[in-house]
Amino acid sequence: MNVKTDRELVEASKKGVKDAYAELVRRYYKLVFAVCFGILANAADAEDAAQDAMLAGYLKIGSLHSNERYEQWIIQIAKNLCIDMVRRKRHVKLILAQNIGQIAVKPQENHQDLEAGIKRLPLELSMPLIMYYFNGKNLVSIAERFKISHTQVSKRINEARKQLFKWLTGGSKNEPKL
Amino acid sequence: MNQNCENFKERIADWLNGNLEKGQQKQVTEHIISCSDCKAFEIALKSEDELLDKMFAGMISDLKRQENDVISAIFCIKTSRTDRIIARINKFIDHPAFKLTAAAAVILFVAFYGLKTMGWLYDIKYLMDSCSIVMK
Repeated sequence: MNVKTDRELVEASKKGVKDAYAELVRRYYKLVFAVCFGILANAADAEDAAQDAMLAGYLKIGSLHSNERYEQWIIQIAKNLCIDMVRRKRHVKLILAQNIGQIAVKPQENHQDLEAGIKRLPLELSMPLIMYYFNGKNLVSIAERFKISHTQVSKRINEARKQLFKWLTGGSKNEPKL
Repeated sequence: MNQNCENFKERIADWLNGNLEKGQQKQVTEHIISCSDCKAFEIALKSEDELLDKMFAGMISDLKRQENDVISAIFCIKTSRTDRIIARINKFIDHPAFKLTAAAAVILFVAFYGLKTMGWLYDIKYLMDSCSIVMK
């Protein structure tokens, strides 16, 4: 089977071939979702942001100048959307706090503590940890993606685990950051 | 707990990541058997790993559905008439038959223009005129 490169798929997408963009979605959705989850630490929000990013990518594909840089481009779109989402949420919480006198509490979800813990990790620790579980615990592929050594990836994952463990077992009194 | 245990904790985490050589694996296993603190740490890390595994497995299993939602949305987006015309023109231009025809047209044009500038065309016309006179 003839596997097309990203460049060919982007070129075809620019010409309006929807199947070509669908292939790009299949290739990059998982990565985009992982990036969104790394920033938002909430599966439902990450889904919204990742889907919006992929659709925005389709609508703006004409503005991508280097066809071979689709991956970096779509990740940047996703990051910007996540940052907007975080800002909007802060704004809504602030208004609620001012008007109602208390911050609205979301209903209990599964893995809420874990998600809150991941949210507190710095991105350089949370991203390797998330990619580790998303990529079938393959350290080599993460090292290649982040352009760091195998050992460094392992160290970051260990550090992320230790911090998560500390927070989950009540080792830190700080409230999760938004 | 001593400094030795701190070093072992780092190795226990590496061990869970599958980032430990066989010789070191043996040392870690032996230490865990003799040290209750490190044993407890290993159990805690393993259960955290299981929790994370479970959480991410749930997300990963849902990714296909999310991908399909995006793809369906893309196929539902209606493009403008101009975009559709441009897309059709691009598709037509990209077709091999069009490329072949365009190449043939360029070759014919160059050949025709070349003959004309070199005056051969007039010779051919003169020859054809002569033939027609003879035929008559």
